[in-house]
Amino acid sequence: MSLKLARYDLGQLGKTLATRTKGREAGNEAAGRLADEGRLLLNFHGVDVASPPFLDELVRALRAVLTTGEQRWLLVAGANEDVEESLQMVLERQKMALVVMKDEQMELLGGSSQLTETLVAAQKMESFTAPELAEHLQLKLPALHQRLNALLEAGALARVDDPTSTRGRRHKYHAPSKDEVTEVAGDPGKLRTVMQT
Amino acid sequence: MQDTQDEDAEDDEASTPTGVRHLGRVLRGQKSLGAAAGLLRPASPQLTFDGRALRQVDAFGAVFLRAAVDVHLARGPAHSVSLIEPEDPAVFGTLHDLMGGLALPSRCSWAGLEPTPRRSDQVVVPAGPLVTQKDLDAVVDFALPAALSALGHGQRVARVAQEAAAVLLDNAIVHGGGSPMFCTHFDAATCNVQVVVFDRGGFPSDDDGSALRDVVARIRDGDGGLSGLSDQRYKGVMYILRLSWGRGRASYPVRDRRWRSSSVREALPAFVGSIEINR
Repeated sequence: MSLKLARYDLGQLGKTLATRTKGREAGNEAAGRLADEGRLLLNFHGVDVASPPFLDELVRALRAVLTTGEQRWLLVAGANEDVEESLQMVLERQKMALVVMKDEQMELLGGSSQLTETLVAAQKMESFTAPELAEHLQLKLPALHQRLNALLEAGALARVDDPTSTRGRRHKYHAPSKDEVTEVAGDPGKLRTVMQT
Repeated sequence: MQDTQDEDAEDDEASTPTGVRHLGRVLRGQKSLGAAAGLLRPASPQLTFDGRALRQVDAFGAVFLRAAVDVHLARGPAHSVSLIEPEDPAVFGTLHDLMGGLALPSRCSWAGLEPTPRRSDQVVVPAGPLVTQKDLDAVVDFALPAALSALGHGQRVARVAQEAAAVLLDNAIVHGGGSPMFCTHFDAATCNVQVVVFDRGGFPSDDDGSALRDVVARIRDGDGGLSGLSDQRYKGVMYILRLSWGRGRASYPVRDRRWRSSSVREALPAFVGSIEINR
């Protein structure tokens, strides 16, 4: 499955993103794009500083879209170590996680080690049902569903109805790998360049 | 980290009917707040700031002096300012660069009693007003990090300075009205990079320091941009945040993670926010 994603460049707002007002404006714009496109790359390339108040507003706005129940996918890229640390702090305070590209790997920022373990397993399986992943992780289903919901809220997984289900409604989950992600606008090589800078 | 509040003050500022104001021996750190009210007072149209006895000056002194110059010039088209240079060549060199060298506003000039000094490598951004949002963005996003990097202060120090400058300037523009005064300087005496923002934001005439205490309470509650600098996010970088407004004074050494507030007798007719980053 190939995922194309739109991109929101925070660097266009400036190199120093430090105020709540700016965070609210960025949050509204980014959330709007995520709501419209369904899949978004949040690009921090070119940003020197992103303060917790700015990120707090940005994350709140994105969270409101991610928790609507519709399929959404969100990836963070291009953050320097100080921005990443500030983002981690804000995500922990908001009890939320996001997927971030680091050194060509997709990692979870703000989540627990169990959540990261679940995402890693999900990425290896790529497409799975909850019972399949539960068996792989040797977890009870309710515990796994809690983790899957957190990952859906983080924009790290896609969920669709399982068409093969014969009894009741069942979902199939998909955890895209980095290789499956391409940018929807512009040069497909641009995303790789973004992630490498 | 040496605290600029520990400096001995030897202000002997006085105004005379001929419009001469003496800058005294020390125009630096928190001690310069005491001189600020005097510097900003109305004077006769031809005003002279006599800096001959000056022995210490930094970004704090520079923003007050530059603000005093601009305020005086704005009082009338016939108003002018003459700056008498400090006799100490090193101090004159620092003050000269802090005030923007030869790029003083029109109707303001150096007295010309001392030769133009060599450029100092310690002034990062000279004291001056930021009039438009574009000015602010240019300074915070480009001039400040470029200058700090060129002077060897490191990326992380630059990021702390950028964040503080952005927040303090935003606060000054939103709440202060008018163009804030801004200066960044490496103070070798304390080994601190100083970022100072000054605005003439009004305060209640009967202020007992409570106006600033309310500001600090909001920061503690996570409101406002400065709350972001209350966390020790920048590994290995120590700094002190300071706020002064009316009779209120507040400081936040990041290693202590606690705001300290106090009140003073003489009110400052301005809001001054600063960060001093230890190198």
